[in-house]
Parts: sequence; C-alpha cells; structure tokens
Amino acid sequence: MNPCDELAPLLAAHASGDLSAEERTRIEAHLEGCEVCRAEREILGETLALARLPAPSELEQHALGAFAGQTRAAWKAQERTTRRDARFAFGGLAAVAAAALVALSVGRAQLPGAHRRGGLSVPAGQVASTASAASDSELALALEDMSGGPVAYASEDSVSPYAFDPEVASTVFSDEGDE
Amino acid sequence: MRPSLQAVPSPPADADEALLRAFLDGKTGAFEELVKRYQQPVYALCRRYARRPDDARDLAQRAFLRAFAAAKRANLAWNKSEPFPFRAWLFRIAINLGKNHARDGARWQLVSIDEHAAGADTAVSAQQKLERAEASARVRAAVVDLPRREREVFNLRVDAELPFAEVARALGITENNAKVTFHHAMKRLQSMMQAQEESP
Repeated sequence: MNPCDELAPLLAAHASGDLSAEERTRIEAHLEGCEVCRAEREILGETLALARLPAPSELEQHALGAFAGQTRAAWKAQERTTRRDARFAFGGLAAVAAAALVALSVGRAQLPGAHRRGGLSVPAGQVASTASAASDSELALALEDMSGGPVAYASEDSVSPYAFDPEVASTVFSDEGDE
Repeated sequence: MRPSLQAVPSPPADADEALLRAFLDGKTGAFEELVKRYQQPVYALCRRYARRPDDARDLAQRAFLRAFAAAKRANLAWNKSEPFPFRAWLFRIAINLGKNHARDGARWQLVSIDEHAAGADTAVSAQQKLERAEASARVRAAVVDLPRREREVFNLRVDAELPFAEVARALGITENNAKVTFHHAMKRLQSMMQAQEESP
C-alpha cells in the first residue's frame, strides 16, 4: 500500500493532537518527506481550527461554579414531582380497584343465595375503608420503598427511555434524523 | 487564538462506580461529586448545539438528570459484577439532547455561542475577522449536520477533548475505528469547505 494511503487516516488524528508515540513518530517521519501529506495536514489543521468553538468565557466558567448545586436542586425537585405523581397514580388505581370491588359485591349480593354462600360478597363499608387506605400517601410510599424504586416516572424529564439492556439503549441512542 | 487541542483523560471508571453506588444508596454528596467531575466535558459537548450559554447549561443539566434517572431505574437490573457505564451514557445522552435541541430549534442560528466568548484576536483586520467568522460559522454548522457516528466522535474528541481511547469506550467502538471515523468527519468538513470556496 502507498504509505500516503496507509497513513492518511492518521493525519486528522495528528491534527487533533492525540496519537500514540509510535504513530506520531511514523507520521512525522513521513511528513518530512511528503509534500502532498504536509499540505493535507495543513488543511486539516485549518479546518479543525475553524470548527472548534471558542473557549468558554469567564462568565460561562463562573456560572459553572454553581452548576453542581443547581443540578442537585433540580434533581430533588424532580424526585418530589415523581413521588407526587406516583401517589396520584396509585390513588387513582386504588379508586378504580375499589369501584370494581363494589360493583362485584353488589352484583353478587343480588344473586339468589349469595348470603348463604357467605365470604363471597364484601360489605360496601369495608370496601370504602380499603379504598381510603389505599389512596393514603403513606401506603403509596411504602409500596414505593418495597419495590426498591419509584413506582412511576410521570414527568417528562424523569421518564428515562434508557433501559439497562444495551440493545434497548442503543435503539434509544440512535438518532433517527441522521444517516 | 485558542490553545491547541488537549486530550484530557477522565478519572478511572471504578471511581465513578463508587460514587454512583453511594448515590444509589442515598448519599446525596456523591451526586454533586459526580456532576463536578463531568460538568466541564458535558457542558462542552452541549455548547456545540446551543445558541447561548444558558441553553448549553440547561442541556447539560438535563443530561445529568436523565443519566441519574437512568442509573436509578437500571439499578434493579444492574449486574453488579460489571461496571455501570455511567460516563458513556452521560456523554451520549448529552450529545443526543444537544442534537435534538439544534434540530428542534427553528430559531437556531449559526452565530451561536461566539458572541459570548472571550478572546477576540485583535491582530487581524476587521475584514479578515469577518471572513474567518463566516467560514467558521459554516464549518460549525456542518459539524452539527455530520452523520451521527462522525458527529459523536468529533464532538467527544474536539469539544469534550477526550482522548480517542475514551471516545472509543464511550461509543463502544475500537480506538482505531474512532480515529478512522474522525478522519472521515474531517474529510467531509474539508470537502464542504472546498465546495463552498469554489461556488460563486
């Protein structure tokens, strides 16, 4: 292979300043004697200089000083929202379940012989008290603790589509707008 | 003129691991420590796609929040014998958020973060400065439009100043592949510049 073809892919890396010592030695020895590659290297360097962003201003650097604390505060706010949404979601679910139980017990009570079979029907008052307990925030939080994590992520920012499965993660990371 | 590009190695991955575990165990100090550790490269990644420093900071913050939320959710399924790829996820989330921000922002302009940056070179004439600023704006816009993998490699190497070895780790590719991809990105930018110079 022509040495220029072989070394060409390393010219950009050389312009960016990150090559192994061995690669750097090879490239620089080649550049000494190859005018074409020297010109190419110069153009790559110029392109890179134009493409780089200016260094952050002092103002930007100063603002970053408070960044970690602000991000932590944002995380706490997000966690609060998540817990609150989880409580709402659990309360709604419990209410639906309670309504279903009431409907079921009423239906069974109206069936002939329901009382004789006993235990199959649930008194309405008992259902109401179950619903009340289920919507209680303490119970929602207890369930959240038992599950080892939040019950649900309901706010936009807290929804993370990045599942731990690498295949799923790679799908999520893929940018449909490109390529 | 901005100093030449560096290759700044990140802290060892096992140090991240310890902090992440502490965070997942409820130690909030670990959260801030991890943020401080990566705020510079994450902010630098986001600047590429932002028009104003505020936007870049907002994107960076969202990247951290998503990465921590992902780590928390993944904690249950985490195979503890393997390190959690927090750093790689964080960088890729930041790049993705940035790209989406640039794509969605109809008002996004090429003059971006320049206006806020320090260090104007007073040795060149106003005309030269203008021409260079225009050329620079065109190349930077072209960077955002590079194919995904080329853009990711460019973004991580040039903006976050990660060495190729770490760029490769973040993207799950080989170091050689990262260098070749960077070469393709640079050639694409170079071709675009030449085409613009030749056009009337």
